[in-house]
Amino acid sequence: MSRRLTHDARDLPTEADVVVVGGGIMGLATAFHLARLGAGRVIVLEKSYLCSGASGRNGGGVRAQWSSEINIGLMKESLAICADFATEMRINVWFRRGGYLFLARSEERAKQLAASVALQRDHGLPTRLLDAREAREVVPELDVSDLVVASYNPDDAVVFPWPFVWGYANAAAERGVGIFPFVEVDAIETDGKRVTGVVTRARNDPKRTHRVKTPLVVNACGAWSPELAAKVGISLPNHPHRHEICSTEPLKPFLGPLVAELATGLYFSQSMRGEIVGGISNEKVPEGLDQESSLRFLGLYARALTRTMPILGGVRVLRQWAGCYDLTPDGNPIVGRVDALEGFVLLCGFMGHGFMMAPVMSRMTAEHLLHGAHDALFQRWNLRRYETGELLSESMILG
Amino acid sequence: MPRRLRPIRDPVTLIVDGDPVVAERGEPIAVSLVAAGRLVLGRSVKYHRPRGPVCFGGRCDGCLMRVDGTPNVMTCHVTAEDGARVETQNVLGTAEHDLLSLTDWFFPEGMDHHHMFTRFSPLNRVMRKVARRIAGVGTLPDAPREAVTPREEDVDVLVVGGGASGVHAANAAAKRGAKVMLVEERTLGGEAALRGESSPRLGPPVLLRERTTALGVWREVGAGFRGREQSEPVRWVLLGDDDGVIRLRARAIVIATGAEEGALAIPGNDRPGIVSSLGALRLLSHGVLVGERVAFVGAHDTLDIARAQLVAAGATSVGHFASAEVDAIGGRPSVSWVRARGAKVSCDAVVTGDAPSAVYAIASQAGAGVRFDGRGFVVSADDEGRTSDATTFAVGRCTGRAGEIARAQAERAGELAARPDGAVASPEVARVAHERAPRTRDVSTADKLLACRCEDVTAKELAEAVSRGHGDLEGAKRYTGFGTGWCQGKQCVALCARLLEELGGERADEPITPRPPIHPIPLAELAGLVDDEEPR
Ligand SMILES: Cc1cc2nc3c(=O)[nH]c(=O)nc-3n(C[C@H](O)[C@H](O)[C@H](O)COP(=O)(O)OP(=O)(O)OC[C@H]3O[C@@H](n4cnc5c(N)ncnc54)[C@H](O)[C@@H]3O)c2cc1C
Ligand code: FES
Repeated sequence: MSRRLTHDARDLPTEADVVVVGGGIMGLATAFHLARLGAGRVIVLEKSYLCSGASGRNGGGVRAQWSSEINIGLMKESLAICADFATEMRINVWFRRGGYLFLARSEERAKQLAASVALQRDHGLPTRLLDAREAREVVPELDVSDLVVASYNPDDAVVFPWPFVWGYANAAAERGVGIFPFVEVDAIETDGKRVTGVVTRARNDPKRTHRVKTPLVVNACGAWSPELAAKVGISLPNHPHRHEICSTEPLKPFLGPLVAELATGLYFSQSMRGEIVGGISNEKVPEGLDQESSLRFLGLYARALTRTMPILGGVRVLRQWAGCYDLTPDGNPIVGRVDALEGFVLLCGFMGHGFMMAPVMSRMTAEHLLHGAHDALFQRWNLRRYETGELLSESMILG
Repeated sequence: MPRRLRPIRDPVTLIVDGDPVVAERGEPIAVSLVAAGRLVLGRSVKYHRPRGPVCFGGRCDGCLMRVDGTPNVMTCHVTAEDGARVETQNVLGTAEHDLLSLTDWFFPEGMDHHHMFTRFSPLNRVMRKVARRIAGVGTLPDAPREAVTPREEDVDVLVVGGGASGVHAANAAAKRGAKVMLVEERTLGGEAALRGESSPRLGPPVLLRERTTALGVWREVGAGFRGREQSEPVRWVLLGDDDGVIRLRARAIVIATGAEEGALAIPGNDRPGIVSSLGALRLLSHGVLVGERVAFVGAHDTLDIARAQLVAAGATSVGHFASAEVDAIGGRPSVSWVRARGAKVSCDAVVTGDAPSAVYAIASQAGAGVRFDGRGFVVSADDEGRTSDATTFAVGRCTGRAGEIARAQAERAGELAARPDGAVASPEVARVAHERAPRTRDVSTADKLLACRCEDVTAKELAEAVSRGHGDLEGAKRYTGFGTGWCQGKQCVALCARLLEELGGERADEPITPRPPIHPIPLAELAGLVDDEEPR
């Protein structure tokens, strides 16, 4: 195992076969797979520290309970990768299969859950619909007084996000990928038709720029991806949306699954350290790339959480923080090559579930770029659909 | 052993792990326990090292116990009443003899929890199961808690901290006709009284709230509290007292939170029986002597005061050492010796006072800049208390000023804060010079040097983070977990910044982002903050 994960900006090359912009989970995992498949000289440029974006701020939920066939299939595979990640990548990610328990408190939500469960069972998931009594068997502390129905997949899981990111970074570094934190991509150079290079700026030498010649740029900037695309005049339909999260004091383990409620967007689970980590939807947040915490969030979350599990009333919040979701209008990602500019690849629009998408999407992206594989998926999720109007849907999004 | 200097006045009986312990009604439970010879009140998260109170003032993790069915209660903060049920947490056995402290012995230099047991899948699975079982401190409360309705208030100027600087600032602002509130975590002038100093009087127009803590500052746009639309950003301060929380709007905030002595960078620095100089003084104010034979370590004016007062009260000083002169502190489970200037000196308590660091979290959240000076943190402010934020002022020891200069600063800041236009030009505050050149620290020590007590992060683990390229403060925090424990870094961030530099990591400029809330808040006290309709 290599000791250091990253390089200093002074060692930036002048040429690369692929430049991945964004050192979050998507960028690092994709760089790893590209290198593994022999893409040549691959570098990852990250404007801040690794884990500074959404990949270092998320709840670590990994589940196969989705409402579309594609997502169910992809996340099933992701779960399998996560389960073996620690020994494959030689770093503990504290994968814990406690299941996901979705709660429905209205008939309408119950119908929605039932339809998803039917689809999931068709695809071989062990998801079950539970009544109030059964739900309490899974989580005895639940208040089920107005529960209509719950759905439960015991195979869903949570991981600890940071080492997951480092695991990919380390595996990429071992395969020769240069990872450069504190280096921002300032501009992308083109000859009008295709990408020819990127211009970078390093934090420790902000007055100087550096040029890396490359034919291929992957935009893995998450919530910042529209900003990067705008540098080459491409306007993306996705937009950042602040999502807040918090953590309580650590308690001895008592909570098995991650509990979630689609109506409010409440979700919470118990981390391996014993803290209750969770969040909730909040429509009324400032526009744009805002990562501030709010008091309103604490109020929304505390109210929903203590209603769902009243025994937590006396448990204390230790800290809150925020990150940005990368929302698309139809709830599906935007990936693959862009018609307007050769050599510019999108890998963004992962909403609030890009962490669990990364293990599988990164592999498929590398295979697609190098071998043209998975064409159907990359057609379906291409930016083009916003011009042709063939929009998609996904109803099991949290937050 | 600690002992009481006077008979108990109004005795009550606490039930501690099933045994009766006689205490004085109204004194903090942590004081009762220490006075009864119980120095070990719990065990740490990872290594199950013994834990005892350090500060008796709400800033450390050393006095956490289960009280009357509520987990993780700071027993320095709750008073002894008859029949109170107090229980040790996180032990297999007793606080003194905890079977799980085998982990401490098994990992003498700390553990590499990122990479251990990653070679063989079945073993990894077992390790994860075990790790989950032993994680966490405390168990669920016995009973639910009803949501508490928060109160609301509006003032012109909020002063945080009731030391001399806070009082001067509050008086000056009130004299200008502003509506001023001063909040103080403990009691007004309490700290000065402990140090045997007199403190200035607070003028009557100032609203005083004692035993009230500023829990955080939030700036919100869009919709805030109770869903009200706000076009302009609004800055909320949340205050907490014995009855719940108060949501406050203040046009200007004056931070006068002072500086606290830091932890010692010495192996064995987490042993019970090691208390801060303020902690020893607080204990003494309740008529309890921290020990008979006391070693004093560090250099700090409060330490000198503590030493004089403890000796006057009957303790023997076994020596006063600079922290660089001490290479280890030991004892099992609580402190019984220090090794200083090459000799082992026996003692039953160590009183410390080193490298003061600003109490900066609230200042930072309010918008003021905070800088690392090589030893601790300082809130950046000029001689008029102005910071890089136009409506945030910082005065006194948290800005590195004391005496007459601090007084002038506080008064001027109070006047500026009282201006109704609020728009005070904010200077670009100069960087503080680093005070000390880094030295290379040897971390292959016999006992653990705890960089972060709450999360059991050792200096060795920090060194490992540096060697893997996580040598910046934020990166090292994520890699090791320091600063993410019960105290949220109050005790450790300055020490970790110092150690990182000594271990060859990056020189810190600022602290890690202080995440709200500043002190833990029960969910029930937050649940009443919103009243917009809940979707179903
Ligand atoms: C609070 C929260 C909770 C979440 N919970 C979950 C969950 O439970 N499960 C789940 O699967 N997902 C969850 N998500 C979503 C998930 O975290 C993201 O979808 C995922 O991390 C996206 O990864 P990424 O690599 O695409 O983006 P990021 O991790 O955001 O990485 C993008 C990186 O690009 C860098 N960058 C931007 N512009 C430039 C530039 N010009 N030059 C260089 N670098 C640049 C940024 O600094 C950033 O580090 C959550 C998100 C949040 C915010
Ligand atoms: S000592 Fe409390 S978090 Fe580090």
